[in-house]
Amino acid sequence: MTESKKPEMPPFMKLISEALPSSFDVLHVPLTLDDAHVHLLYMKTVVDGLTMQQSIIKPFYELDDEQKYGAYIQGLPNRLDPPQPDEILIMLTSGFVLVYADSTYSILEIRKLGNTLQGPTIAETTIHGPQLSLSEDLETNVSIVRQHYHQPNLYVETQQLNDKSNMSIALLYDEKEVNVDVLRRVKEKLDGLDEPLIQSAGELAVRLTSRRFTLFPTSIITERPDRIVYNLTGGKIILLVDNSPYAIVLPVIFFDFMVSMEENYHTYLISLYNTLLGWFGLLNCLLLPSMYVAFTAYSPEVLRTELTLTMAGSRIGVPYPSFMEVIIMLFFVELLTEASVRLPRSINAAATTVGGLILGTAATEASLASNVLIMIIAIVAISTFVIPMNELGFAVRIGRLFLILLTTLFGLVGLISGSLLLIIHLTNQDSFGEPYLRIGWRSKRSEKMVNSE
Amino acid sequence: MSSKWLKIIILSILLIALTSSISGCAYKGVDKRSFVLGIGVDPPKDPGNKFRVTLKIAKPIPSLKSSTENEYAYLVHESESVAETIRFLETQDDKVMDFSQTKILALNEDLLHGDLFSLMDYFVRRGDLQLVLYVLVAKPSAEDVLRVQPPLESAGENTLYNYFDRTGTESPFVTTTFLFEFRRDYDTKGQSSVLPIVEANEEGTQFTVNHSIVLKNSVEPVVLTPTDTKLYNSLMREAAGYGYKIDNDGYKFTLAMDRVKMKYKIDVKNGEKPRAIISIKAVGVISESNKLLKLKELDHYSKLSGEQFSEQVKDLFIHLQEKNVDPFGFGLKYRATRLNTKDTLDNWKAIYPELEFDVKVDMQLKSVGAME
Repeated sequence: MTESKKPEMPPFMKLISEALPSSFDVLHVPLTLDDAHVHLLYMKTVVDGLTMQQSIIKPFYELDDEQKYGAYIQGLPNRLDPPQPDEILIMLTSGFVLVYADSTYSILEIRKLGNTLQGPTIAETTIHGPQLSLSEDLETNVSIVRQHYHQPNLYVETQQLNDKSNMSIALLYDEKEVNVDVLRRVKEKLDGLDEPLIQSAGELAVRLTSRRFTLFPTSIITERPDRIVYNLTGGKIILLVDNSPYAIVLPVIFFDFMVSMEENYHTYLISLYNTLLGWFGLLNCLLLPSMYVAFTAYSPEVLRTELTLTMAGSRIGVPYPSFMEVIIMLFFVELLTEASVRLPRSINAAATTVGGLILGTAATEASLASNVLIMIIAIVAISTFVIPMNELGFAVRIGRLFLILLTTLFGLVGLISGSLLLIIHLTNQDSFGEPYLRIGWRSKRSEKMVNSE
Repeated sequence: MSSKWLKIIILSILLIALTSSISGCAYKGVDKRSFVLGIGVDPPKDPGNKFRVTLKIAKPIPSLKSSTENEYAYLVHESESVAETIRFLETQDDKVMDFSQTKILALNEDLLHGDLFSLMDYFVRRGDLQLVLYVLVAKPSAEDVLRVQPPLESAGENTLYNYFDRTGTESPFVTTTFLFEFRRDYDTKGQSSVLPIVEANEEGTQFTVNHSIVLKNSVEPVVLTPTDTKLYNSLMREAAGYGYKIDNDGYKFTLAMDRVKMKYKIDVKNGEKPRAIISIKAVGVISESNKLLKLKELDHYSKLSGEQFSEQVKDLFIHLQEKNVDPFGFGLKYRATRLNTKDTLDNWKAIYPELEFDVKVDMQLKSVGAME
């Protein structure tokens, strides 16, 4: 807009440029050498200036002929025929350049790449296995997946969301393995998205599920390339989102959440042991607080006499009934967990120490909670972190409150029927048509598509 | 917001509000219960009553490290029935009496004559009393036994439990009988129940558990000596470590048994005397001897021991037969292996006094216990 229009703009480009806002970074650059005239229209902030200089501007002056330059532009690998004007507008905002040369319009992709740096894995760390997570750039991420998975059947479909962000997303799947029904459903969901703004993979994953009040997630969000590849071979669909270091894995069943990638890097017995630890942690964290309520308030006969007496002794002077005690202490621990997530890493340890150690001791000293309960809460807090996927951890944290409520009302019977209700809820759920509690009776070998010889 | 959601929210708020007011119903905090660890039943001191019941109630342990010994409270009352007494005793306690941890039921020896069903009824019927509690016969009285405080007992521990649950001592002199077992054997035709006798010393500091008593409806109780108790335990309860004295052919051994197993069948043929064929397999070592033993002669020693062992066993069987009690369940075996008619039981009652015992012992000594 700010440019003077000495060589007049071709009419179509003029149309486009008038539709664009008068922003400082919208540039119209006419290139003129002798008789040759070429027009470029782009947005400075999203276009990679160096590449443009190298591949568009410099050849123009070198070739010195409009026809030859036109042919050169036609031959560029990143060239597209211009689509509808409104689509061109969106493309311009995401790093495309509209070129008018030799009386043809071309649209070239010269995007300035986002954050292509692969950070270390944060959410799911393993000791063995890849240490780098995805980057924040879509193309880089696709290339990372391709580099982990050299298969011609790996299909990558790109698409843009219809919301204000117009974010590009990529749909990756192994064409041989993928469940076509699920793929169709996912595509329908993506097309039918009706959200004003979606900014991250997590948000997209939430919007893709039809039920609003579901406790358990129907997709995995992961940052690990090895998990992506592991799931690709299992016939799952991967959604990569631009500007997000996370990928969405669809469809998932409950048991997918209990797989830690670490398990693939150890011998059978060790990984079995790890898996069992994970399950033990899950049950601990779900059931232990309610079991405490059930045993102290309803059925002390389940425990050994010695334990009953020490439990009764440790509750001496605690003014609240045991379920209040449990809820209060659990609430503290939830606060502590949340605080340690929000805090910068440098003061993280201090918060945990103050919260965990000092608060725990002080609570028993002040007779606000029994010793046994403090121990149970600590076990529960640790167990939460043993669950391989964070998202399941969140679901379990809410699920156990539900169990505590039922146990408080109905004792052990309540605990049992509450667990039953949870299982019924899980059975009732599905992830893109895949039953949520389906047990995949397949060996790891066949899952990885290794031919057994 | 639709009215459906409003309903759900109101309901959940109500539910949460209600939980905070829980105090009745079954919700009873563990600190608001007093745990009865033992029940003792004695004959009354006042002849107008029927039973004298002692309850042993444990005090909660605030800290195992700072408390050095257990503290118990004892509640005693006499009345017409056990149920009535316990109802009365509940008025002497500010907390709810919890019988779910009760593991000891001590019965005074004097109560064991005659029918025990009316006494047992309350304990079997009451839901929170577990049927796996240990029944024992107390001397000199149930109250004295419950009041014993052994110096070896530390906080959080119960000496009487240790005797019977086999986590502590595994002495072959101790017979463990659960309440369900006691009632079942007492009621079963052709079987008698055996209870351990726990004796408290006069100072109230020590137990002795090495006698037992055989009980059967309508028959006088039979007290077994320590040796017989030991023999019964090793034959019926497969108690290990059983020490057994042999005095045969100039040798005097003491055997330590690893394993004793008994099988028997009842053989009744027309025209012959009914016989019980009993085969016992015993595996063990010689742990003490008056002479130098040779490993080569081990088979001979086994034979010597076996002979004497079978005599001892036979003596026990005959002793029990004379008293008309049957803790080994010969009668049950007979009933179980014959076609059941209305005469089966009467037949057995006729057979038992004439039954001959044919004991075969397969003694396998593994070592002489010392190097040559």
